[in-house]
Amino acid sequence: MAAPEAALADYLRRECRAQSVDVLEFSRLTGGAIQDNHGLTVRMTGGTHPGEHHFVVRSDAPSRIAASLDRSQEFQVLKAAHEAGLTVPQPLWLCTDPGVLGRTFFIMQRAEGSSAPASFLKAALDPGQARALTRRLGGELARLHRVKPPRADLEFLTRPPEPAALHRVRSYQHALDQIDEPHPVLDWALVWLADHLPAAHDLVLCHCDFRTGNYMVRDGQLSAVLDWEFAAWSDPYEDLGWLCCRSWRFGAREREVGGLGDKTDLFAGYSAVSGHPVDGPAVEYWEIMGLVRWSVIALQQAQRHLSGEEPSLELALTGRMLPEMEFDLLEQIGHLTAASTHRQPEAPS
Amino acid sequence: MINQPDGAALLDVARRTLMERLLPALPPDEAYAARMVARAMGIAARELQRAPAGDADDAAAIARFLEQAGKGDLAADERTLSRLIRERQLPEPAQPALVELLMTLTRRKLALSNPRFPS
Repeated sequence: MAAPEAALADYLRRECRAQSVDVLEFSRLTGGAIQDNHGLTVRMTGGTHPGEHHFVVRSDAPSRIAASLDRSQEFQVLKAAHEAGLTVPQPLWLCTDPGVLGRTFFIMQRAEGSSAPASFLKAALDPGQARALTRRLGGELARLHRVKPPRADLEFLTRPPEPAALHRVRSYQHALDQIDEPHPVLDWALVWLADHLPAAHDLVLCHCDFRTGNYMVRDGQLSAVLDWEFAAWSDPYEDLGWLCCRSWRFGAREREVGGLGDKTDLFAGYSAVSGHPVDGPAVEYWEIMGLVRWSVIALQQAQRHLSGEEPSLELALTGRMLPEMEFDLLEQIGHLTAASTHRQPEAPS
Repeated sequence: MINQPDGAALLDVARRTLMERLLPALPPDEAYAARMVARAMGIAARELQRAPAGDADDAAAIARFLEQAGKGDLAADERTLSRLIRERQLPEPAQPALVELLMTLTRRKLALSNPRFPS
């Protein structure tokens, strides 16, 4: 097989009917267990895209998590998100022919900025920028949640066979069953979640990993929402809860929205696009769900180390983060329980 | 008998050497891995200092709770708690004591894995 630079130049020449394609740069951006990202800078003459372009080539990694989308599915989701008006890198071409790179890949525009929480959470953003960005994140989610099933182009997305919250509770219980180490706090949280199921909402397109670390910021503004491989049809509050979940505040625990800002601004941004007020208690319910979800993922990651399948210090240490999620679960459910004894119980839905 | 300095003390000084001398000399790409190594050494050192009295404290706290909840005949461990919670076998009046116990156990785990959490 040709070197990837030459193969990509050939591919682009055909796709864009270009007279010439010069590869100026091709280098690995970030490593992931799930996919490989390479930066690709080219100069093309003639055809549909003359001039210099900064692209990202995203390909399937040799091993991938079964629950995540493959690259051709992710390409379709990215297209749907782009069409819905979200701030995402424009998806350009999908190549399923293994003769080019040896595996499926797609090419998208390269967004500028940084997704590393440390680069913009602490001090780097002034308070006005942080508030505007928080509001913007709400608007992005509301725009995404306008995409509803059925969609012929997204028929591969999973759809919970029962209310999303109940389905998540059952699947996390099942996942815990597969792990030998007892975690009574997680069992206790799952009982609470089962006993406090909120009213279900119509299924919408959810990102399912929309949190600080998975969006890019440039000069204090949102430049791209990334990492769409966990997208699914789900309850819109799952995305809102995950974004506010205590585990994703990166040391700024008092700022409930991803360590960045306040819920007031997030909800205002969401409502401005959706036209409906945000149900605060439902967000908090899904924050608890988020803590359990992250706990289950962390246990599964530790399991990959413990089983010898993938010895890794990072996976091993992730397993030792469990008490942090368990502390947050005990504290947050404790607050909710204390608060609910001061008001009338809600009618069952 | 183990000579001094013991394992915990060795891990402690090794960790300080890593953080103070090696980390500044490493390229930025490797700093993350070095911090993970330091974290793992810190956890291991704290575990060596605690065991085995800490495990006995946990078991005693669970035993006291089970006794109060009328389940004193069961093994005093987290597996029992896990099963009782899942099967909803703990009576409603035992819930506040259960939450207190779970918080005590969780704080003890945090004292090993991340004593600075949640600040």
